[in-house]
Amino acid sequence: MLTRTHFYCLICVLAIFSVSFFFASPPNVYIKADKKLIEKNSSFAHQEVSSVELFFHSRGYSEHINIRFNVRGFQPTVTIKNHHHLYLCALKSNGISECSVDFVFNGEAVSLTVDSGDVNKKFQMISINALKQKSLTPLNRETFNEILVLLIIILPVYWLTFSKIKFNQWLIVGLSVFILAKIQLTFTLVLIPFLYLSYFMGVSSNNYVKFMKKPVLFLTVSCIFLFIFKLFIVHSLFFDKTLNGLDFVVPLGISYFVIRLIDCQLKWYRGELKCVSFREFLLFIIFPPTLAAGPIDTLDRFIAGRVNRITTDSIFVGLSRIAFGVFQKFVIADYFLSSYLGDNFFLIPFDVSSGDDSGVFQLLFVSFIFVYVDFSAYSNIAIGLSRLFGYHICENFNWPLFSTSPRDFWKRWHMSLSGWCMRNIYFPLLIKTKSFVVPSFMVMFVVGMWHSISLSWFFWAVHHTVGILVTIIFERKFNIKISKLGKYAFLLRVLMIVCTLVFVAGGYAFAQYSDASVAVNMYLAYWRSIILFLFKFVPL
Amino acid sequence: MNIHHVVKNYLINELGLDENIEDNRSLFSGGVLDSMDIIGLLSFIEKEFNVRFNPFDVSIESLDSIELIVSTIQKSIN
Repeated sequence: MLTRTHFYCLICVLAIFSVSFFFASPPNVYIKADKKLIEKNSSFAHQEVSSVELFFHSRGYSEHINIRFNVRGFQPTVTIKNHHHLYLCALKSNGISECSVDFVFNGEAVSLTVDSGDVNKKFQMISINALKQKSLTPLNRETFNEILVLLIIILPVYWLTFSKIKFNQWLIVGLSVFILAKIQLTFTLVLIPFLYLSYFMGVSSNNYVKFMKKPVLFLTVSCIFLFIFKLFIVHSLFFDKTLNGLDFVVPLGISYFVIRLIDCQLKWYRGELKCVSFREFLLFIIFPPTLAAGPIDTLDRFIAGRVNRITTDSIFVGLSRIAFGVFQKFVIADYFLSSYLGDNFFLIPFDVSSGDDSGVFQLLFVSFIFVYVDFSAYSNIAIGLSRLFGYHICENFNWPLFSTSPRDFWKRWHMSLSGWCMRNIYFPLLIKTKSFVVPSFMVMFVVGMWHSISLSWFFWAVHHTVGILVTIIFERKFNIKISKLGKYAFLLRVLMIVCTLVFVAGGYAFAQYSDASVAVNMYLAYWRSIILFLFKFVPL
Repeated sequence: MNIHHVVKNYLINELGLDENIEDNRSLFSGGVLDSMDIIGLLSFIEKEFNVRFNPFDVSIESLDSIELIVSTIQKSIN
């Protein structure tokens, strides 16, 4: 039954959608840095030449590469063979020239010549950095339009048949398989039998798999599965997108599938999950709203979260969450924050390498806020969509910007992943080791490697482990109840929040720059700039 | 030996819980105890009842209240 409140709510939702779509920009402008794309046979070196030739190749579609030459004294001429997407070439005040190249196709190679213009003018020193622009957030106006069309087709049928649970759930499974197959047919063809195998191993009693502990067996199979696809990912990234005619691209949400599966298997093994059908299991693993970016629910909570009937209120709550998420994503994250990041992501690492740390703090802090707004936007959209499908799924964020310590931060940030880590990594290791050091590091290490297997993410894990351990030691040593501090309690809380935000933002040097040497430089520059800032207040 | 009595005494005397705490009160998910308290609790249980917990067998949920802790210890002893 539609009431006046629903009408006002609908107007607000439509207004927010309109504003968001007005600001939404079709391209994804979020970037990651990578300077490994300069091929090793490039001829640049510290030698006295008047011309150097560089070879580049792209590893993905629609890459934008920004190249900076540090040439002392004069502006070089840059020419490019077999490519016309070259934007030339400005001489900066500090002797750095820059140009950028747009690659359109994967595997595209260019040869770029940097020439002094005169055989007598020799480069005394030339160093080259290239940073690659890469899309990280796949949701844009076009993909959101596709989602809306799918919803408009499927939701009326879904709502009309909501009381027929089996048909209803198969309908969403069908939708999800359709989406997956549309993106990655081969992956879907492998995934469904794999899910049936893991379901069979989970529900069958230990009689069937006496020869091996079920978790060990399952984890082995999962690792093989993950390993095979990682190999294909590596192959598709570095060599070619097609492999014997099959469409191997990075499988959508593969990490989420695997960690949901591990959770289910361990619960089955402990006997904590009973009477779950393959339909419910499949629905949980490939539930469309949480397919790409979570939240990571648990199977029992997910099944219990299905409402008995879809009400007008729940539809409007869902629509409001989606509208808020779209506004966060298109307006705050993509329009305001990433337009700042877009340019500075290229420029500031170069500034740092030439001794200017002034922009680092702002860059990393905005990166942190961007990732928060962007990720919570995805979570809001996923939670809102789930409400439209009649499911209450878990929340992912609990005001992490108000955390009073790094440990508190991880209780509020990406809570569904933190909960998973607590259940499946931290607690088992705690039982084994009776210490909090190893489990804390392992949680951060696994989360880091889950994002990307790289040295940068290893350093990220170390950074956050140190933060958590210092918090624990501090809390144990100084068991202060903040509320007992009276009028100073508020001030202390604000100070703790500021310190936590500064600490967490520092970790974004590692999260944002996949090249570890760039990341470490940015990290050191970040702390240098903070120390210098604090010294301004110290009377000398 | 009364497992329930021993566990409850430990929680009250060592971890500072209220004497009137209910047996079904959520300890970890309810924020009464934190993960640091688990270390002490686990060490105490393993020593006191001479049991060894298998990380795969025991979940954080199975120690979330006094009655669940008692039930988990009984399962481990048997």
